[in-house]
Amino acid sequence: MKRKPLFNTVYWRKRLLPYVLVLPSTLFVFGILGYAIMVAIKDSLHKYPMLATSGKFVGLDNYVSLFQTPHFQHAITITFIFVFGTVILGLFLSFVLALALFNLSEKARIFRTITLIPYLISGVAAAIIWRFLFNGDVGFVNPLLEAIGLKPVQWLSKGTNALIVVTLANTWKIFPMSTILLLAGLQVIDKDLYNAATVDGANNRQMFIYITIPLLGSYLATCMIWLTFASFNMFSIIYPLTGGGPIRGTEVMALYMYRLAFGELNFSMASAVMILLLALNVIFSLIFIRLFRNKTV
Amino acid sequence: MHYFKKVLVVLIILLIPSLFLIASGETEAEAEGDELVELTVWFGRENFIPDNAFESFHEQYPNITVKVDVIPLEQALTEAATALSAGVGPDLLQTDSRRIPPLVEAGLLYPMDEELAAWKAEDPESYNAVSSAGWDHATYNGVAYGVAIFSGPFNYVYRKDWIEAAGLEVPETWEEMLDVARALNTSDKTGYAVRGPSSTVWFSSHYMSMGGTYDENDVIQLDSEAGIYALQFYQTIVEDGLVSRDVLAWGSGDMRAAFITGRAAQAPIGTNIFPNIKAELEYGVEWGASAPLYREGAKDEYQYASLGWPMVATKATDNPAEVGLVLRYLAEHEPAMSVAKRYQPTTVTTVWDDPSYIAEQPWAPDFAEVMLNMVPTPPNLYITQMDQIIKDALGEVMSDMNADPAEVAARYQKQLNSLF
Repeated sequence: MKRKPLFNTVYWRKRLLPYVLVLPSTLFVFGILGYAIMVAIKDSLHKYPMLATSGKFVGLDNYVSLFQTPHFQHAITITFIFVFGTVILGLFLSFVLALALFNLSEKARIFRTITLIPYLISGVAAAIIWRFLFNGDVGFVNPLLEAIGLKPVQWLSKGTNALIVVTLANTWKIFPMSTILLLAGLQVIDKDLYNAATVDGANNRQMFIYITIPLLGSYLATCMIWLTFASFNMFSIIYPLTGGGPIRGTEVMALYMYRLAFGELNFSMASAVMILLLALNVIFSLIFIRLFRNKTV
Repeated sequence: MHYFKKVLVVLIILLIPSLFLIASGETEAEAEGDELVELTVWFGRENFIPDNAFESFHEQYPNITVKVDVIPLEQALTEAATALSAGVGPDLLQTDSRRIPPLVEAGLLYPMDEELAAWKAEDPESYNAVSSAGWDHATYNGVAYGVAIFSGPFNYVYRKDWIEAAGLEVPETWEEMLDVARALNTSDKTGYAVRGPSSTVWFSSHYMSMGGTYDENDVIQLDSEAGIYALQFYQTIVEDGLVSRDVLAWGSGDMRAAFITGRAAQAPIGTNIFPNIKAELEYGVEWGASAPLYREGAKDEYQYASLGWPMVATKATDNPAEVGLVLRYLAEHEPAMSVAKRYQPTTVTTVWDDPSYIAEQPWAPDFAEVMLNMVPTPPNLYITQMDQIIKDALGEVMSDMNADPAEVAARYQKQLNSLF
C-alpha cells in the first residue's frame, strides 16, 4: 500500500495542521497546569515542617488524616450543598434567561450584553454588594421584608441562611456565562426542525422537550461542567461575604484549603485538599459529558 | 558626509575615555571609604512607611540604599518563606508579632541582640525611648529579632453624652459595663458592639483584661476562672440582646461603624480607629475612651493586651549593622510620629507628649501612663490552629444560650492542649 507523503497539501491541511496549531496552547496549558498538579500531588504525599521546602514522604497519610477531621467532613457536606444548589438554580435560571434572550427582537440585543455584567464584576465587589443587601442591621432585604409584613431574617448570622445567601450570590455571579453558552446553543438549532414539527402538529411544549432539550445536550453538559467547576473552586465571593462563617456554616473546601495553606501554613494538607477538589471536578465533568454524550446537535 | 564621519570618529574617541572614567569613578560614599550597601525592607502596610520615606536616612547614610516594598501582613509569612528559600528575601521584614514563632522555627530570622546592644550603647536616649512592648513584640524565646515601632491595643470606647444623659457613671469594670449596656440598650441602638467569633484578637483583649493568662506554651487558658468568665461574658451580651442580632457575622468594620454612626453605646476599638471616630464625634464631649476595663475581684491580674507589628531582621541579610541603623531611623521621633499621627500608636514614648501629636490625637495623654504597661498578646507556633479552636468555642457559647461556658471551656481546652 502506498503511503501518503507527509506534506501532501490536502493531507497536511486536513489532518496535521489542526494538531500543529493547537500544540503551542496545549503545551502552554499542560506545561503550567501539569507542573502545578505534579507539585501538588508530590506535596500531598509529603509532610513538611512549617514554612520548610522539604519534608518526608508519608504516603496517603495526609488524605487519611483529612477524612478523619470532622471539620473537613463538614466542609465536604457544605461544599456539596453549595455546588449542587448552584448547579440546579444556575441551570434553571440560565435556561429561562437564554430562552428569553433568544426570543428578543434585534433592537433589544443590548440585554445580551447586560446579562454578562455579574460575571464581569470581581468576586470581592460582588460579595460586598451581597453583604450590603443581606446585612441584618443596615441591609436592603430586611426592610423590604418588613415592608410587606414579614419578620426580618438573620441572613448572615445563621449558618443555613448564610449558606443560602452565598449560594445565591455565587449563582448570580457565574450563571451569566452558562446563559451565553445556552444562547449560543439555541442559535445553532436548525429552524427547519421546528417548522417540520409545526407541520406535524407539535405544540410548543413538545417542541421544547423533543427538539430543543435534546439538541442542546452538549451545551447543557458544558454549562453543568462550568457551574460545577466554578462552584467547587469558588473562593472570591465566600471569603469576603462570610469568611466561612458563621461558625463554619459556609466553610467550603476551597476556603478550608486556604486556611490550611495560609493560616496554618500546612501546605501538604492543603495540597491534598487541592487534589481532592481537582478529582471532584474531573469526576463530575466526566459524569456530565457521559450524561449528554449522545445528545448533540 | 565625509565631515559627519570625522565628527563621529572624534566623538567616539572622546567617549571611550569618558566611559573608563565613569566606570572607575567613585561615588561620594565610596570616596569617604564606606562600602555601598543596599537593603530591602518589606512593610506590612503602606501606612507604616514614614512620611519622609527614608529621605533623611539616605542623607545621613549615603552609602546605604533602602529599597522599600509593601507585602501585606497577611501574606508576609508565606512570601518571606518563599523568597528567603530562594535567597532573595528582604533584609528587614514587618510581621504580626504573633507570627514570629513559625519564622524562628523555620530559621528565617536573624538574631539582632548584638546590633541592638550597639544601639543601646551608642544612642541610649533613642533606645530607651522605646517602650517595653516595642522590644517584647520582637523577642521570642529570649532572642531579639528587631523592634516593634508600632503596637496597638484595643480600648474601651463609650458614648460619654449618652451615659451622662442617663445619669450613669462611666464604668470601670466589665460588670458595670454590662449594667450601662442594659441601661442604654434600645430598639434602635445596642448597649455594646463587639466582633463575634470571626476573630480572636478582640476576645484575647477581653480575656487578658479579665485576668486571663497563658501557660508555658503560650496557650490560652479557657478553662481558667478568667476564661470561663470571658466566654460567659460573650454569651451574656448575646442572651441579653446587648449586641446586634447579627454579631455572629460581624467583621471589625461592622463593629466600628455601629459605634461611629451612633448605633452602639460602647465598644472595644483600636487606637488607630480613634481619628475616624473623632471625625464624627467630639472627643471628651460626645465620646470617651480608656484602656479595657477589669473584672471585679481580678484587678491585680489585669493585663493591657496589645498587638504588635515588629520589623525583624531576616537570615537574608549580610548587613546586620546597617539593618540596625534602619531600625534606629524608624524609631526616631519624627518618622515614628508621622506614622502614629495617621495610623497605629507608636512605642516611641517621646511622641506621646509631643504637642503636635496631642493636637491631632487629643486622647494621647489619657493613655500615656497605661501604654507603658502594655503587654503583647502572646505569639504561638500554632496560632492559627489555636485561633480556630477559640473561634469554635466562642461561636458555640454565642449561638447556644443553653451551652454551659464551663463545660465548653473544658472541652475546647483539651483541644488546645492537644496541639502541644
